[in-house]
Amino acid sequence: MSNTTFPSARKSGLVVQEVPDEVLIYDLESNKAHCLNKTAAAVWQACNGSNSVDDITAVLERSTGSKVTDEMVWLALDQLSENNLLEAEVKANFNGQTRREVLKKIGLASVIALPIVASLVAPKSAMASASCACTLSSQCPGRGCPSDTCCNGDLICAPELTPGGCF
Amino acid sequence: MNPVRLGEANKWELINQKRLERLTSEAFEKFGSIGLNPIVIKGAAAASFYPEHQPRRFFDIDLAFHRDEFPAAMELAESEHRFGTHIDVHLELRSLDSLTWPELFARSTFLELEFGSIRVLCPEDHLRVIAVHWLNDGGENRERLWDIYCAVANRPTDFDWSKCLDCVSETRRGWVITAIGLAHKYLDLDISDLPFREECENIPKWVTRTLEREWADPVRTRPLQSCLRQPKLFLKQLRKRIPPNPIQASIQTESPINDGSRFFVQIRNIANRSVPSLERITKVIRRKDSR
Repeated sequence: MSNTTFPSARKSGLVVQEVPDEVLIYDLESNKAHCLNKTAAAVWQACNGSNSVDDITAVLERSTGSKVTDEMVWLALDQLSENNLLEAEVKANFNGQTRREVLKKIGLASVIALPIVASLVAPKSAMASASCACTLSSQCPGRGCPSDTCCNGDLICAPELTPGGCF
Repeated sequence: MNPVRLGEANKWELINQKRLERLTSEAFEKFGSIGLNPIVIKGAAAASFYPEHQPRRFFDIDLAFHRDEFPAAMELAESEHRFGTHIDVHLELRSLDSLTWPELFARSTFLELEFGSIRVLCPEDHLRVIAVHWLNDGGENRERLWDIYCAVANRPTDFDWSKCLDCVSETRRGWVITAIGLAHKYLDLDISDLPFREECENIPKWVTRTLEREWADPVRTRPLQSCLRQPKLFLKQLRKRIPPNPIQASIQTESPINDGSRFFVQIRNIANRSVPSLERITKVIRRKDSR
């Protein structure tokens, strides 16, 4: 495993909100929202471009007060990279093991939570309230409507709600 | 103390609110860069009165402009596709308030967001406008009654009730007090320190009957012109409008909310609304035919 990587957390195009024990991130480019648990958040926040994986491991140990393996950090980096939350892609090398094997191994031994980068999905009720002022489906693209494809008869840009209901 | 555990939906609302706050700041700056001076209404302005970790659900950005700036604002809103969400451009505040635009603008203030500051109505004008806005929608959206609750419960310590209520007509003052009274009745807003608390308790029975009927009705009001392809929905929407919601009818005909009969108010409202409504429907049909 190469611990000479100096990952850098992506800053541009993101909206970040810290909440108790978690960090919420909205990616304005992909329009996706993520929820980082405490471990993943600590790793992401330590990715300043000058910390190596060993440094990040040490930061995590200090913040949790527990022994942390660098595999734990790699697991976090792997997910952060996969979700485009790092400036440059980081290829995690688990020394020939699969991610599942690493998860199992450190999951049993670790006293801190495994890093998790979860996707946040808009609740259905939110989608149903997301109306727009368009009266023609052709008006929707590029106007910030929740969907670009159709504005149905309910003035809700969510084509699946009323198939074929567009003007 | 245990940390607050947020549900999935709440987390999404929270980050979505922050996203919209950022987009609002960016839009405000963008309009400002071409010399336009919007006031942000509803959206991020109303959300600023909500407690931390209690996000207000909203989806677009409402910007009001002076009538001289309105055409340029419309043009930018329509041509600029990088706002990231829908921008609702308003021609001043129209019937939502009776103060003139220069008056509202002079009293407006800046709200500091993480991403920059935006111009919003002063807290006194904000409360009056959201109260009238909510009533103008017939009180249909129960969730939005929280806007009024939060604007009162979390008002600044120097909030001036006279500035809020004494600059408008008795009728409009009564509307605002009714809306506050409803937030007290349905959301348990504390009104014990309000100078007009007794008036707040004096809500006509027809108002609460109307609201409870609206909230129990699964059919939400939608523009008629958007239902033309769905005859059943169109009929449902038509039925919902006849007779008109008496709260909405009172606001739209500038009538006081009191114990008096709503019959003539509703008749006047039908008369006022039918022609513009027919015009909108005709416009959509014509547009459809020309495609």
